[in-house]
Amino acid sequence: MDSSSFLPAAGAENGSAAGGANNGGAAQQHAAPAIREQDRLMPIANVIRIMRRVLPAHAKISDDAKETIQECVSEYISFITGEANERCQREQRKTITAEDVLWAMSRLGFDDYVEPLGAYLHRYREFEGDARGVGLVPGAAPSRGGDHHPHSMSPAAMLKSRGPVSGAAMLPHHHHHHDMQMHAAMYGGTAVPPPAGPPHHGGFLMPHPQGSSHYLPYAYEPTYGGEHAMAAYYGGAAYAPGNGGSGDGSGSGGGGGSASHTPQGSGGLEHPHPFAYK
Amino acid sequence: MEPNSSIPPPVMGAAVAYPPAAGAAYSAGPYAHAHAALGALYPPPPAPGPPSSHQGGAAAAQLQLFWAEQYREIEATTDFKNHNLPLARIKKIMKADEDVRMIAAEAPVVFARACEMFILELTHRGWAHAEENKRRTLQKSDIAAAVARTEVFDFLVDIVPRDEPRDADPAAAAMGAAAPGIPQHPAAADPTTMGYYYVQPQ
Repeated sequence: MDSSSFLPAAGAENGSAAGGANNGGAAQQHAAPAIREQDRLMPIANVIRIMRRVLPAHAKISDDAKETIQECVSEYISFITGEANERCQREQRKTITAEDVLWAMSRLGFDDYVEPLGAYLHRYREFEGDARGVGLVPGAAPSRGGDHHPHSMSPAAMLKSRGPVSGAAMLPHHHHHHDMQMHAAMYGGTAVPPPAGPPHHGGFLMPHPQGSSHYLPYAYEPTYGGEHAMAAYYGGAAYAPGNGGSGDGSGSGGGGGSASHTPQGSGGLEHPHPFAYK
Repeated sequence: MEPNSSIPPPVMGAAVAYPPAAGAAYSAGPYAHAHAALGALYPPPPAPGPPSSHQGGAAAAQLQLFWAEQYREIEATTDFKNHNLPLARIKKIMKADEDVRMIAAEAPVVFARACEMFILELTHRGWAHAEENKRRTLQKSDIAAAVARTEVFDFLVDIVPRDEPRDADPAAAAMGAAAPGIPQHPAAADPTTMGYYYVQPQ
């Protein structure tokens, strides 16, 4: 908490800083902290641990470099926070949100950070949702599968309305890639390569999907792949899928076909040529 | 009417997507069509432009690897309870600006990750400068050089001295660091002042 005894010093500092460069002056307006020494910097052990992740094993870090990075991180937080807070005040809001932080970063030139952080925020919210008990049970897969599409749209729509465009643009691709990966995993011998995507995203693969919106594709994919196919063919007509469980490729495909014949559906095939449409 | 080819038709050919004849085609057809349909449902977005970089091609490639690594790490994140940087400290630094009133719980979470990226990028660029000078110790002058070379880090010019990046001579850099006019630790040199960021001579 700020101490009142620091206020005159901070004011004096602001006054003397006014003589500096315009750019520096602008930054100074937001970064004139009056807090205790140990509270205004990130813990040096945490900072060093992060630094070492990009340095070779034989690299050494001088003490003044460690301290400089600590100072730079605090300045970075104040710099971004100041811009985010200005946006809040313009829009008559009192609370700085995560979207305000991402907006400020893109505005201040940290565009490369916005997409990864948007993905991180998305996954964090899924984690929070799971923590609140928004989970799925295997028996609920059929009904939940029906809600898949609206559910997947909600985060994108939310980000579109409140966050940076790049953050929203990233979501559809991520989901699409995830589906492709799950398909490949389930039908290892597939002869159809997935549609061409950005090659530098090839490494994305979740070993265990987490979060409600990530669990759905895994749960519904074997059963409702055919549903999507039929929906695309019949202009999105709604019908109840037949198979409720996961199985091999031919099993799930057969389930889709059976659904088109008998909405109530059954696990087995009752006609020799169920797909013979004319 | 039905196609005889074993290659699955595109989405536009959905009307005849299920050949009834062969068992193999029967087992493969529906899934293949579903695959194509899913591709149509979730088309990939336009490829993002290359990350902005003021350095050469090699450095740009390294940066792309860096961001690809960031994406991979984010996708692999399973622990959202423990962060590499304390959220309370981040919030306190945010609140140091007296104009800041309320902070949503997610803002420090995003900052924790953003500061990690910031530290990694600054360290990476600083180490490049150390390697150029055949050193194995990352020094303050390397950080200063990284700041001077990267436009997005202009807001840090008051944190690191400007003179050091121009001193290519190690002896001159050492003398500069030892000069009493440029203290390495402003707070320690002058504990009475509260302006930790702006006591550097311009």
